[in-house]
Amino acid sequence: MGGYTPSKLQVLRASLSAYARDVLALYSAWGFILVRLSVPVFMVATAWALSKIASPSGLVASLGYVDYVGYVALGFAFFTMLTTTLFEVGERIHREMVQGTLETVLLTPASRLAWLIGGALGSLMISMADVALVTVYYVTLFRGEVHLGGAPYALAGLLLSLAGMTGMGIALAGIVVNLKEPHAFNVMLTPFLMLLSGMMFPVEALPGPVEAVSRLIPVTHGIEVVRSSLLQGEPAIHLLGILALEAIAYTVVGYTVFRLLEARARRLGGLGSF
Amino acid sequence: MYTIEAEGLEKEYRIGLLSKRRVKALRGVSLRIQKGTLYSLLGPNGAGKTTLVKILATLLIPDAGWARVAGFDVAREAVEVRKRVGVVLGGERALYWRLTGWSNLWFFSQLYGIPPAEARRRIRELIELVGLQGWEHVRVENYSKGMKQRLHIARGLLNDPEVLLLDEPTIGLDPAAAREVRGLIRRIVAEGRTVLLTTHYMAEAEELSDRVGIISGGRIIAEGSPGEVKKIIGGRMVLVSLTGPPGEASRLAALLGARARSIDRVTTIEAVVEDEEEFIDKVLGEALRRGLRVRRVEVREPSLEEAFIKLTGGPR
Amino acid sequence: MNIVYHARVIKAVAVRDFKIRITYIPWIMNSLLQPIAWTLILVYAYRSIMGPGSSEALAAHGWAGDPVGFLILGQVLLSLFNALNWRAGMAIQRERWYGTLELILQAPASRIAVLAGSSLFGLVDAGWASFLSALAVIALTGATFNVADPLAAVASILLAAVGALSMGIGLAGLYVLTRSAGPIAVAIQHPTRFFTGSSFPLTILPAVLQYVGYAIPLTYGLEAVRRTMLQGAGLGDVGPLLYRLLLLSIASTMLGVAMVRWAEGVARRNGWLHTF
Ligand SMILES: Nc1ncnc2c1ncn2[C@@H]1O[C@H](COP(=O)(O)OP(=O)(O)O)[C@@H](O)[C@H]1O
Ligand SMILES: [Mg+2]
Repeated sequence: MGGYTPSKLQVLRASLSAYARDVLALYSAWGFILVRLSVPVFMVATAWALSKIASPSGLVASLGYVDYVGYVALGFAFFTMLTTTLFEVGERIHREMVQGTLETVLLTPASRLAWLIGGALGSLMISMADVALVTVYYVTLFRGEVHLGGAPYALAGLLLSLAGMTGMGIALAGIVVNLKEPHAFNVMLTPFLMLLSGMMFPVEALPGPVEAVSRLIPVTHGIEVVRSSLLQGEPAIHLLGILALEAIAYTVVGYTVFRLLEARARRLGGLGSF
Repeated sequence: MYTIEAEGLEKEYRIGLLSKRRVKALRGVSLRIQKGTLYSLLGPNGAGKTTLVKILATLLIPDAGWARVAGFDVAREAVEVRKRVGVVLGGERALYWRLTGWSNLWFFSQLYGIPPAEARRRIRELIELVGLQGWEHVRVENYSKGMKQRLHIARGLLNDPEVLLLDEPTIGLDPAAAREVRGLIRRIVAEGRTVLLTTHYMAEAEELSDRVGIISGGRIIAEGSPGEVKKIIGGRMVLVSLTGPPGEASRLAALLGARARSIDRVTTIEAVVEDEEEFIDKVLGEALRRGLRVRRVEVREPSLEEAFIKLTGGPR
Repeated sequence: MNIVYHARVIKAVAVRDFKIRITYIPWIMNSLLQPIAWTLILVYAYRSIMGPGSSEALAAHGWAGDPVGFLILGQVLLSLFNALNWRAGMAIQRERWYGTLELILQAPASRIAVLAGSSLFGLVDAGWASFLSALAVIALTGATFNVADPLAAVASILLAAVGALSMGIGLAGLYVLTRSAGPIAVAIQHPTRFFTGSSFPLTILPAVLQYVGYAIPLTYGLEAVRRTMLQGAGLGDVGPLLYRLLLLSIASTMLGVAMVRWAEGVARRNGWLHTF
């Protein structure tokens, strides 16, 4: 019998449709919709409460952001979008492990990368809905102003940091393949990513070394580009270059790490051991 | 003296809160089980076996009818019943996989209010009884299906129950594991406990039971000792093996309303019939006409499975 | 005899929860690290919106000075609530996940004792994690406290824990009614963080929203703990708060227990025990 290797496009399509099915199953439960809605609402509401004690001499104001609600709303929306991408890639692999389909996917050599990116694209669609939601809250409830002229730069920043986060996600997938509790890992990582991404405050407020680390995460620069473009109308164009470099570096490193860790899992019999 | 008594039990399930769809699971079940005996409730999937067990275990309240277990009413004196029955609801789950077998048993022993020293002794005995020595301090997630099932049974016996309700205890087990569980059940009955066992394996009921009830569509349609249940349908089992033109034997079976099974070129026609001589005459006559050759004729008692098929109108 | 029996059930449930818990090491790390990260996020957010030193706006709401202690205490009690939300609140749902709910309910043990066991473990489990993570944040940020009446402080902390516990039991009554208990338990953490004023003085909010906060037991506990530990308040100052906290806790507990009992009856009549 001749072996059949599906093309990348076929794998991509198949993984996208599998993803859509997962998402539909997930969101048919109204409880999940509740979570999805309540988190952004209360995040923005907290920012609004904090904005009442903001002072003009504060760091946020001195960086040129007059409206703290908008600062957090955008920060949170894009943070969610970027980290969802990161975790979706990892969790998808775990799901396939539980379903016993991971080995099938990994056995088709040409398809690994396409499959992983397929997962990231899927999660992107959901996060887009999140961003739209937060923007709607911000504009309607808080009458926030957005500089639409900066949108192309914001989009560029977003796409570059998405590429970077996908790269990180692939590395994470390698770790997840070796773990039995990927969810705990994600939940644990999220607050630290929040702390380092500058979602609620400028990373300049962090101690020097911590700030340096935070700048290595694509989310941090990504959020900065989005904020400067949409809230100030003065895009931080110089960050786009750095983001592009980070994206390339993370994709290469991520894929290498994934291959190494996957090989380790295979050696230790971690794959399909569920 | 009956340890389990039920009269006119009915239960209807509503599917969902709003939906109007209803499923009638029990349509008037009456049952008497003598102390110290094993009663098998035999029936296909969806017959209502689990529903009946859950009512007797106080996990469900019947819509109509009543039941007494160990002398107490399952609806009005649920706590008294709970103290006196052990329940094994089949399935792989229903244990704490992250805990050891010992910890699982310990936890449930405390829910039954067994004093610690006695609980320890009892757990040791039960682990020996179900043959899990050496495994008691291993996490349940590492147990095989058969071991989990035996642990379930040990759990069901923790409170030294007068009555043990076993819902399909051998489902999903391989033949060797199922045999071990059946041996265990036999020992439990020998200890003087009353056991109600549900199963859809005929051989199991035939092998273990003092009495057998056949349940189908929420009704008990036949009851008695394994021998009596077979007699209730009266007939004899006739098997005729034929060779000849392909397909002819099967057509003949269809004509006579019998079952046909082919191995190699030999087709065996089998049926449970009232009058075996008339049936054999008919088969032989037809076989001659169709150019079939008779290889073998056998007449015997039907097995419980065959009786069951006749009573419930064939396997579902 | 009965008391001993109930006590044994409580202990067995708590020990079981503990034994299962320690097999999930990543989750234990999680319960330590999460509160640290959250407190730090809020500390830096406050510092970068307030500017150097204190904020007059914050002082106007009664909390002059560095908000670190304020935020740490808010997070400690919130973590306590979150843990009890998962322990006491989700105790029944958890059995459903394990597939053991029917077996638990088939035993003659008191349902309240079972719930109490899970709650007790939740309290201990969340207690040490919150305490350690608070210590870590204090070490990292150098928060200072001002306790004048240790008795009042201890009483406030204990009653705040009781409040969190009563909320967990109250929520158990809600969670048994739905199959989406998991997502709701996640979702409920965010409004709780907001309305109890764990991250900012509640008086910042418009009156309508404050009313929501004052319907939650934890809000009073939080206020009492902060007053006694940061502003040197005594029992006389926080007495009314503690009194209301106690009343609300009793109401919430009774409601939760009643709902759980009622739900069990409904489930036994309708055959939902294994699905609901
Ligand atoms: N909890 C339930 N809700 C709705 N229908 C049920 C429920 N449990 C059982 N049924 C239905 O009741 C009938 C009898 O089920 P059951 O007692 O489980 O049969 P058995 O154990 O013999 O397979 C079946 O049609 C089944 O689908
Ligand atoms: Mg059944």
